Amino acid sequence: MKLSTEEIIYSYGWFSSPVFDGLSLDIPNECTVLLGPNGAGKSTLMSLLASAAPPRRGRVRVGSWRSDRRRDLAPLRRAVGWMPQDIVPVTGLTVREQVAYHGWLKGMSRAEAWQASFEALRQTNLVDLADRSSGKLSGGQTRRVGLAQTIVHRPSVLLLDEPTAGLDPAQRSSFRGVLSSLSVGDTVLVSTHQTSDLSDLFDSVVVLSEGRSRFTGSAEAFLAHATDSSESVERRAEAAYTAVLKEAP
Amino acid sequence: MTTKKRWLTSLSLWLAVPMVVLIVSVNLEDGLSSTRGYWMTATTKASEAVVFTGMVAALGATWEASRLRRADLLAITARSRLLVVAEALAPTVVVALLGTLVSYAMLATLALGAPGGPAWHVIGVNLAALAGITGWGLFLGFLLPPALSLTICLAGTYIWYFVTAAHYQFPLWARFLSGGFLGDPGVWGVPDPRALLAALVSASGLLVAGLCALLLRDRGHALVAGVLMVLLAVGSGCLIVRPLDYHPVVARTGIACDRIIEDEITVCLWPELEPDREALVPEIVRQHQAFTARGIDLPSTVSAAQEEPEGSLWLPMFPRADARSTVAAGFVHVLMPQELPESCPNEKFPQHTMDAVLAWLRTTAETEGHEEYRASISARSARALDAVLELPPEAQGEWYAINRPVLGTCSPDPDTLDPRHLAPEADS
Repeated sequence: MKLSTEEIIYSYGWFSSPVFDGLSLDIPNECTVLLGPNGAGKSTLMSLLASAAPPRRGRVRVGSWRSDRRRDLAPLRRAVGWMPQDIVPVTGLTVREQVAYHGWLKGMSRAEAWQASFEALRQTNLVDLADRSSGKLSGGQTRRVGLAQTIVHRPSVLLLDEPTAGLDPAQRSSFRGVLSSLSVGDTVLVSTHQTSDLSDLFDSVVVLSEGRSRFTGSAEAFLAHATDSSESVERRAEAAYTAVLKEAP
Repeated sequence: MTTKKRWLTSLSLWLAVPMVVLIVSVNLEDGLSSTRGYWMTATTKASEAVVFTGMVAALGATWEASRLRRADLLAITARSRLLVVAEALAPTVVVALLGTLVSYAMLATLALGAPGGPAWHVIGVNLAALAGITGWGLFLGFLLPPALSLTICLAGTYIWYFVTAAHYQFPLWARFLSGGFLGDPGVWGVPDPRALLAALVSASGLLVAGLCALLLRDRGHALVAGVLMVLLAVGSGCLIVRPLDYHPVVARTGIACDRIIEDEITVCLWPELEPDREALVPEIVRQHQAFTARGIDLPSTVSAAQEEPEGSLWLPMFPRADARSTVAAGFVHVLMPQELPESCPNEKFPQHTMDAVLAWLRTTAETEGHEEYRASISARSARALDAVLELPPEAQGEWYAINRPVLGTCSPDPDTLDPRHLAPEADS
């Protein structure tokens, strides 16, 4: 599903300088990684793409829906699954209840959401924790709950904001395994500031820095920026990333 | 979320029991001792429960809004924000309405069988006040961090309902803004429309502030719009109720009058007094004659309404009361000054005259407990009373007429308190 931004202007407060000042971006219709240093505006872009935050000007397009048309907002949000960086449990709910509640919020009936929550928990290896209070989980488990609640309504577009941030290496590896086994979303955008997250999973790359797009293209084209001829994808990605940021005006 | 879980995780559910206990206690202690047989009193007294239901509604709304805000659920939902919040607020609304219902049901026992029915416009204002304070809770819950919003909600709502009504630093009319204190009118009164309107205007402002926080996606815009709405609405409410004192009641109109031909007296009764007409009318005539026989000039029309017909004598009477005592007490009440000075700094107050005149009125009207009252007044007042009672009836009325004007003033007891100058031998 086509995902793009058109001339987006966004700032955090009325008097602060804009994070994005006319950002136009086409996200490829495949599995894309959004790279950028801390403070580049990745999380803000994710929340704008999810229509969780309204831009001051400009619009987000998801398929034929536009974020600046009121009647489009509901179908647009149904089409998108957004996993923010911080997953906050809903006080008093178990893992399955929280996931099912997100399904209901996305427009499913209670019964549908309850059914779908089991499948989402299964996909994220959380079935054993289904009845545990969602506020009493480890960081990695909470991330997986975040993922489960993001995919419960089977969105066409999946936005994952720094999904492995704060996880230890084992948890990151496990989480990547879960991600790779997911069978939802024809457009997946994963933001990260770590080039080590770049793997065979991704078809294309977007690099964002200081609120501007520095690179949009295929993973091969991105890696071609690397002067390092190492065979390690991680090292080539690191070199390519540094080169792209250096090329930026 | 299942309905059971929604209820179990709602703060309102846990506040429901103390809320109902408080409503029942206050109604047993105070509400049920109000005027019987008049729906207006029953309704306004029952609506005072909003101070408890409103606290629960505000805290419940803040709690639910905080939960939605913390997990940023309104930012992702594909459903209408109103629907999501309505679903979350369902237990809070049910609990608040349950408290309201308990209060109305208890106090309806005061008026069951009386003519007419509940004052629906008062109930409407009561429900609007409840909706308004729920909006206030949402406003805080959506715009402030959870701990801060709950603290401010608790403190703010407590001040709104309790401190404004009890603390001398707040003007007496401030309590009407919350819709919790609409007076305790006798059968001759109705709540002042200005108090009702002010409560409605304030509630609307609070509700709109909550809707701003709910519907405006920009938090800054919501905060500014909400604060402006609250200030505008509460400010307008203040302007509306500023002229009122602590008792927001105005005279009831539309009374029916019947002329009692043989005694040349016209008696006007409210429908609530009609069931007691046969006992009340002869007693009114008897008391009227007793006082006129003492030379007190009374209008020939005695009305249970305060201001109609024009020139009539207002007689405050209570439905479902003993006719003899309510009529006697009514005559004593209207023949005493209606306004007394709050205090007389550096001046004297005619206390002995006050006591003697009141004791004379009570003795003449034969009110309940007049002998005990006679025993409780000062020796000087009692001496004056005994001397007055020995005078011929017309001289007693003359003594009342001479001393009556000083009663509502700051002045020393006049020499006329001693009735010896009115004795027949004094004339000779």
